[in-house]
Amino acid sequence: MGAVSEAVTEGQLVPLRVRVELAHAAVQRLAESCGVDLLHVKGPAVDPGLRGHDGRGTDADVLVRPAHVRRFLAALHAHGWRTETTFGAGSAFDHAANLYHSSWGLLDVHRLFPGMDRDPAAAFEVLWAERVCRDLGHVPCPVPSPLGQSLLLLLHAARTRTGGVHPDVGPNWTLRTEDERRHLRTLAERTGATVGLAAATGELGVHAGSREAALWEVFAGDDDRLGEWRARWRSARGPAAKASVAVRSLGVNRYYLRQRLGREPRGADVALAFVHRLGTGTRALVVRGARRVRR
Amino acid sequence: MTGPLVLAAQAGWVEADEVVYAAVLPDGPPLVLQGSGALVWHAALPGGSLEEVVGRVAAAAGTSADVVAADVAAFVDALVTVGLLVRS
Repeated sequence: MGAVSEAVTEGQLVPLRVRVELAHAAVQRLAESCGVDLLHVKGPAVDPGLRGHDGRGTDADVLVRPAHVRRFLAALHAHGWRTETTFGAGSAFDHAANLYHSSWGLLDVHRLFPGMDRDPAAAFEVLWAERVCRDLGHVPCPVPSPLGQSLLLLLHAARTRTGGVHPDVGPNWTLRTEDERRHLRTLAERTGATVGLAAATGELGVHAGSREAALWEVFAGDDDRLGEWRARWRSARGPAAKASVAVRSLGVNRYYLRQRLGREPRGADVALAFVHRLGTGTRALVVRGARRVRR
Repeated sequence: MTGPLVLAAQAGWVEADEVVYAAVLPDGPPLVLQGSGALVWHAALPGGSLEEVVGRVAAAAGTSADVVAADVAAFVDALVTVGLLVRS
């Protein structure tokens, strides 16, 4: 008779897809214990029929009711999760913090979903009101309705450069019936995601020139990093938000630096990375300048 | 407590390639149950007395309860100790 094997540390013996599913289950139990509303999104939380590819993801993703984010992060930190990337350091949308746990690996905590950033609390409420349940790790987990899942997958596809049509577009848009696409457009309107959906479905031209469209245009094209930050600058609302974008555009993400170095970054590493990033921004400027000269 | 065995409310588990990964949530860590360990896990999931669990394991293994009783009891005790099973 076999015995209970030794406790697994750092997830070494646990397949990645198992670890991600258990991470969903773990954070669900934690959310329940502290009265936090969250929806499990992407990866194993998605209905298999809506997945356009086999990619299972390397982390668990949850969308948290914005008013509950601070409480949830405090609970996570009290249960062994450590923040790797803060909300402001991860992406052009300031949407997610990335945390790590020795048992469960990586977790993306979304305080909003990119494309639904006009009124994140209202968007969450719409998705939450229509939630359904999916068992992850044999724990009942709230997930968006199938239509809501499709919308999130399409918004994610719109900001993922694939060099072609993203594989999630087929099952969630192209292969949907006209009636389903009409319902998706309605859901996008209710969640403030009309422009993002248009970006995913190749209809961004309808919104050309708008502040929101600027950011999506960067993902739709092959713009460089400077273009992403410029678009982020344009889409930021108000002087304070614009100043924040300017400061963070040159910040160094310690998590990604740690991944690249394979060890904890030291002060000198961070300084070098900052210089490199400054150089990357400068080169992007030079290339743009050259393009302008050629034009 | 010596009542019927039940799966702990805080237990989560996933099975992949006939290996069970079970954990007390939300902290873990996940435990790896394979071979006869996975067999006992599945026998314990419906709940019931230790004798019932032993009977299910014996039936699945194609042997008599006497042969596996001691090992199953020890394994179930271990699962109770770590918090994956509780005696209601």
